[in-house]
Amino acid sequence: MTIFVPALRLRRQSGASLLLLVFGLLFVYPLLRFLLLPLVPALGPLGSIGVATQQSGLSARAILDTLQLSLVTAAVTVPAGILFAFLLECRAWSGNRLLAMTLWLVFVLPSYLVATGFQILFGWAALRGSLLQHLFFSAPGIVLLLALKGLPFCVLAARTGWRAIGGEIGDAARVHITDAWRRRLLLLRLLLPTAGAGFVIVFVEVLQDFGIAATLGAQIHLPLIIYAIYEQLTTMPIDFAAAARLSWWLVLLAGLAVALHLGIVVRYTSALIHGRQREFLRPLCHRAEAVAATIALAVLVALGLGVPLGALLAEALQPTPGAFLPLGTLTSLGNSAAYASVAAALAILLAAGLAARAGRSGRLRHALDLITLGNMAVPGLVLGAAYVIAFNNAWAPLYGTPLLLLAGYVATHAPMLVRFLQPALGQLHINLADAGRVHGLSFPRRLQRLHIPLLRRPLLWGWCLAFSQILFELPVSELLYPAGRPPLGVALLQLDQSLNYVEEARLALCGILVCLAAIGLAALLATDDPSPAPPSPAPPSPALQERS
Amino acid sequence: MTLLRLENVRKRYDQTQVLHDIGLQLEAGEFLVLIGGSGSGKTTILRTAAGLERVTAGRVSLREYTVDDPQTARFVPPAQRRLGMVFQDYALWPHLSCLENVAAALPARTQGRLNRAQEMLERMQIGALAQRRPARLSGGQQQRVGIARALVAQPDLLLLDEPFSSLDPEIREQLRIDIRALARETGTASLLVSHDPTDIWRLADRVAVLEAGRITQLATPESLFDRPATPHVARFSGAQGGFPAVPAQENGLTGVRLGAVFLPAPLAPSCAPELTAYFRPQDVVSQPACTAGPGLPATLEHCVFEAGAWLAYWRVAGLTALICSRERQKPGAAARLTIPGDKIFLYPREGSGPP
Repeated sequence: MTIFVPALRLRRQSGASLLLLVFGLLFVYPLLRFLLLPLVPALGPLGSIGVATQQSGLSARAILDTLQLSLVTAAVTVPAGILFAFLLECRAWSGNRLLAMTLWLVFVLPSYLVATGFQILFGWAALRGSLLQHLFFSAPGIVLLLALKGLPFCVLAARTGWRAIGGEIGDAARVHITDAWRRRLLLLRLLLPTAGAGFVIVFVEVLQDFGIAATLGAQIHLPLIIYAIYEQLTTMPIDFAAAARLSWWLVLLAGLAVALHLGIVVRYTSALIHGRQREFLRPLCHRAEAVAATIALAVLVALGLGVPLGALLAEALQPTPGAFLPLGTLTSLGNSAAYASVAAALAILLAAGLAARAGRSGRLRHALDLITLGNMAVPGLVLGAAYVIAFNNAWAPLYGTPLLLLAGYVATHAPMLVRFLQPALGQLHINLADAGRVHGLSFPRRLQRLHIPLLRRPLLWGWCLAFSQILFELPVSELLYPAGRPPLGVALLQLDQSLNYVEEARLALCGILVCLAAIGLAALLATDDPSPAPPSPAPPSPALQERS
Repeated sequence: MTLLRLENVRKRYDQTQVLHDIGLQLEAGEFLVLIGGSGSGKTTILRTAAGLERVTAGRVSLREYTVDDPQTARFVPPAQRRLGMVFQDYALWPHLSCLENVAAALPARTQGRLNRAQEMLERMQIGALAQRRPARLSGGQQQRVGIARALVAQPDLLLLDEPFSSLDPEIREQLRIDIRALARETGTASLLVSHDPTDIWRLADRVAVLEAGRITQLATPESLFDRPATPHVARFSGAQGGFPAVPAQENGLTGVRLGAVFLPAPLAPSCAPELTAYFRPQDVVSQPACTAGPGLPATLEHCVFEAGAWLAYWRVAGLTALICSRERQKPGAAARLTIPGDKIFLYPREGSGPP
């Protein structure tokens, strides 16, 4: 038996090394090469050296605008996020299910489609020239859209805080602290880390949002860092070094925020995880609370879903001469559906492998935590730009091929999927595979009978999540799509920038339908019982049979 | 003086009635243990006493003053009820030190707040940990801080919500002793919620047993042990059973037929036609099978040594479960088992399944 131990160890080590190599190739190498460009111009592709244009005024304005918008948006979003999280965690309210679903849909809906919905709305004759239109086509409009997109993240962060305060810790304050102002102060202090975490998360999301910057931002000529990077990479003469310099700003700002977030999380965790948190019964909303909550939910549904989807639908139904959608436009949907299916499958496989290995090794888990947090600090556009340089040379001539686009999609979505799968994999008991081994199940049989049936749902939902995001993905698609085969996001943005809203709305709605069909199919597969496996050579124990 | 009084208290969550006409009172300085299984409503009673839940119907009074009565719409919030509460999961405020946690429970204008808090921590033998945050303490230490916080304002009523359930057995035992001593020393009345029968024997002056939202027995620990009111009370107070029995009469004696054998026992005048019988191992007497007399013919299945005493497990024809007696016998031994009639607890049978 002992002679197999080194072989097993070698196999495990080589597996871990391969995974790390893939991550190194997808992340570390391209990012280093791109971000070091201002210091080492030789790392850039030939032709880009020495063409740097002096646009420091514009860059400085973009940095200031981005900072200002991010701070204002985070400040606006956090109170709303805390209130919605309070409703979800601390009150039994009939609207909670709708609220949770709305937040989820707002999270999934691409930001540029939300922007387009509002652009369509404010293009209508009744609103043209109004104060509302004026406000929308200026910084407040961008803040509104960014706040809508940041809200789900903020609510997620704030729920953790309310969950802790809503339980016995809050009860203890209600029983023991006689002065109402001291009680409120104490609860406020307990909420502060949550508010801080929510603020940072929204700040980073706003910094990195390309969809709104590329639609409304571009339309009102408000330069934001992320769009300025894109312009450096797509406007002649192309200036990779300037793009890298701007990317440094973005990465540094986001990195600082992520470090702050990490600090808050560490402090917060050490402070709150002190014992078990017992489930508690949430009290019903008072009448005034219920009225306020209903109004707030109605506003959220209207702004987050009603306006964008309603406007898209109304625009799509406008009568136009000719075909409902030109074939060329529709092809982009087919392209994206194919890219998204493959990339989501690859990303979920990579993420599952990494998450499973992370569950076994503390060092890898820490490395993965760092990588996923690092991914938070690196927007997709920067990674896409890094790929343009890293894989556009003699030894890796991948630029302009579907392969590089797929790699970009996988790299931008795998870290998120690792986080998504970690809890599900963490719930699998460590002895599950050991029990299978002891009872003579081979690795493929263990996968088929133990792991896949248990992980089918998280894997399918993870695939759905990645599919729906990649289908509408914009920044990586913009930089890496193969010539003549634009993905959906690129086609939608082109239609938006040429103000062809009717076609854009129709294409977007077709995309949403494809997304819903894929989710429906996955839901069907997730609920369908797997077919019984053929009998194994060694009969498993009753416990194992029960599990499988 | 009656410190806490619950009169016909009912509590409903949506469609579920969790408390049914609860009547309970707690005298000054008394230690009442509220015991019951999961979902029996014991924590809800405690929370209504604290004001953390409002009753659906009935009345809660503290020191003869109504603090919750839906009929008159009177409700006194928890902070104004002047009581201390110890939580199952400690519920210490994580951003405050132990000292600040305890001091926070004293009103803002209290003279020498920090000194009083420190004294309380010293009394709980954790004075040296005063400046630490709760996250840096063990479970037992955190619960000591929780108790100090509950007692620092010198309340006359202390509510304890399963305070030992998150602790190791050794620490649990020590804390039981400490809490009992503190309650006696300060004259504080205590209402403790638990699902552990040990808390009854170690702490209680009186016990209220809660089953499915109803108090089924309210008694001192001795009378609860001597006359358990329900099968549930009999079981958790250490009786074995659920043996199917039918009322019978032989030679002018009332009793029950257990298996095929008649055992004399006093029966209530309106006795149910089907019964379940419970008795304690220490009341089962075995006699050699060869001797004449009444009793259940039994064969020894196995014998174990458990915490200082031998327990013999007997198989009796017609009974599915084994009968346990406190003695040492050799496996295979045959005997006649007898149980004094007044030591057999009989209850109307629910369902028809064997024990």
